[in-house]
Amino acid sequence: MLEIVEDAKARSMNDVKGRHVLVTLILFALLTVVLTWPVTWRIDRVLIGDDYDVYIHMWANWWTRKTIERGLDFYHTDYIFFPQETSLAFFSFNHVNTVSWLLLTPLTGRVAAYNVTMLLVYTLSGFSMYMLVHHLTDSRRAGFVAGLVFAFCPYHTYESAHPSLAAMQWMPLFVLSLRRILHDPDAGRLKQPILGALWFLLNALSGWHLMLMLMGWAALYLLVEYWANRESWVATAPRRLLLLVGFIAITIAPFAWPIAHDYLTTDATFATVEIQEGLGNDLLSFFVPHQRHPFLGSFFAGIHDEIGYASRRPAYLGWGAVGLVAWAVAAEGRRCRVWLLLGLVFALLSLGLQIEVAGTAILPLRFPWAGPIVQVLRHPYRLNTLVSLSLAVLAGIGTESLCHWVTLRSRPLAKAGPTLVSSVLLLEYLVYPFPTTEPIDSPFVRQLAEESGDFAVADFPMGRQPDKRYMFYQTIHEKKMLGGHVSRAPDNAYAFVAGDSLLGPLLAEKAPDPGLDTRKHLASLAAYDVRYILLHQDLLDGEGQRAWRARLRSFPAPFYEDSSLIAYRTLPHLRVEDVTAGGERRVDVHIGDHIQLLGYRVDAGESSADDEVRVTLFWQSDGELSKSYHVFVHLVSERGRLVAQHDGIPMWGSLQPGAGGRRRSYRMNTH
Amino acid sequence: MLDESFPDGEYTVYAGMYDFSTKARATAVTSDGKTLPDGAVLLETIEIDHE
Repeated sequence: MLEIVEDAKARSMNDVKGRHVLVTLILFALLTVVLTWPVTWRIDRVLIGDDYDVYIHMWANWWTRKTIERGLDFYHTDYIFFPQETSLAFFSFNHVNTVSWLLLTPLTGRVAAYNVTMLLVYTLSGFSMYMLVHHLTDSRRAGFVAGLVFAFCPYHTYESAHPSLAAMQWMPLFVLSLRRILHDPDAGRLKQPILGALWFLLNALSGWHLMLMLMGWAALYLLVEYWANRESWVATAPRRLLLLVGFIAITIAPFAWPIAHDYLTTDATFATVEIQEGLGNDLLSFFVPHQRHPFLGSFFAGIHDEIGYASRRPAYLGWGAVGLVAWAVAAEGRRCRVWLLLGLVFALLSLGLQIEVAGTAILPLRFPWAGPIVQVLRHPYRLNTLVSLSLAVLAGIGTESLCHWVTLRSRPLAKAGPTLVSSVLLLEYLVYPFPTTEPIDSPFVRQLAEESGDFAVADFPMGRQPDKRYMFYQTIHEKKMLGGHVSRAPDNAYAFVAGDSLLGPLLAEKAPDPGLDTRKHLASLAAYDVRYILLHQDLLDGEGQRAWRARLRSFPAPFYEDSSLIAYRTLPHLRVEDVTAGGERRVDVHIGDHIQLLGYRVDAGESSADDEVRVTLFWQSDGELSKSYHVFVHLVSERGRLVAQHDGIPMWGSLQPGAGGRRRSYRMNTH
Repeated sequence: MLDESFPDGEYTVYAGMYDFSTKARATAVTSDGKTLPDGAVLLETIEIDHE
């Protein structure tokens, strides 16, 4: 009887626990909608995050789908930096987000799918931190406050443009597993190592930078834990840790191997980052509200200017959160020491090469660890992720401790306490409007998508930043492009463009040699399947547009022009009406698939020396051919007898089907 | 080049394409939708006169 009652109690407790978990998840989802406003309102009209980088993450989704549909090599492509092959080993993929995007796109469309996935990142970040701190403190209010700090701190808001850095929702769950492996005697021998490996894998597949950060964090955490809390480790902790490491190695290896292989077998010196390129936090940026804060942003505008770049990469901790941390440390010192130490260490590492205040180095000291951090993460400020991990946990502990203290003195105040604390934090972290980017669109790009054929386009101005934008266009037109972007581009990425006598100067934003025969050179680019040169004039101001028009003065008339771009075709699109210049005769006959005979010229009789009949044919193909065609020209007598013939492959190219041959839209055959 | 033994007279020049692997003629369709016999496009009739 007693057992039945206890079972019923346990079931009831589990039901309550399950309900609380569900309610908390819904609460974080609602908060996400409110705090990222107006993203939900414009869910299919904007992309979450205010940076060109959002375009390359849409490209990553598109590329993943394309490789699945066409069975292409995922880590190597000539779709960017055409015609050479480029490794995508150093591309910032978030495979977890992409899976979500692939599943949601048929239901919501691609833009909304991207946004919903990112909103889930914020919801789950709050929820996973809630789970961790609830475990640590056995307090839902502590978990909730910690979740707020972790999900909505300004740095996380800033990283909305970088899914491979923003998706930190798996970290608290990994930390929770690690805690239980070390301290929970009831955690089971396999369950937590398996769960821990799963969270680690999801974190790694969300971004390799996140994986490297979590590895560093876990190593330091274990060291500090061993020093501070060794006596409370369960006896099986070392064995469980070994299992965890083993499971992680097994699950990560298949995904990490292609990248490691590229890194080890090719000259990867291009991946080296100069230490000066690595941006660290300005000390002030920890304490100055986000510049997009609706009330405080303008108030601190002067300091933002002094901080410089750091104002765009906010590290603001929040005075309310700092107060909670201070309370936690004062009241629960021993319980907080591991988290505090880790938080301070990563805050120090996030500063980069030197300690700067308002943009000025205050000490001549240069930190020796900055170099390796820059090599691994590029920017030390990215360690704000790990700073916020400690900040959230400590704010949670502080909340619980403070509420307990208040409860002893005023029950009504204690009841209102968590709401008050949460309100203060949210008010401090408020960002409005939430950063978003309008997806670019162009009638010509859509027209390009309809054009058959496997060809490339050259976008100008060309370079690391604008090319991100063109990659978004590529997700629409699906043609190859001469520029492109990977996180660490090979030195020869632009070699084809730079080495070309027409495109090379344009890459350097100079005019081509006036002596260059532009039309002839454009034809030679067509031979490399480069069909269009695009000038994106919406990226240029008035002066820039004038300068570019001057550089392109020798180009033929544009094939297309609107307010956003000008398109030049490398070979003019031949029309039947055009075939008249040299005494040619016009016909308009479609032959097989994608071939059009536009005209011909026959030179025979008196005008032809040595009894030669010379036949010139003008062909045009408008797409990839399914067969290997040869041309025939027959001379037939009055009686219908074939008296002479000439067969041959179409000149100026192979006109072969499949990927091997060059396909040109315009050819002239003489027989 | 035309052979000397070629008789003088009117000759018609045809052109078209065929699939090199099967030798099958590619269909030829004019802009008004007419399919040409044997995929051969009549280009021109010429007069051969060895004089």
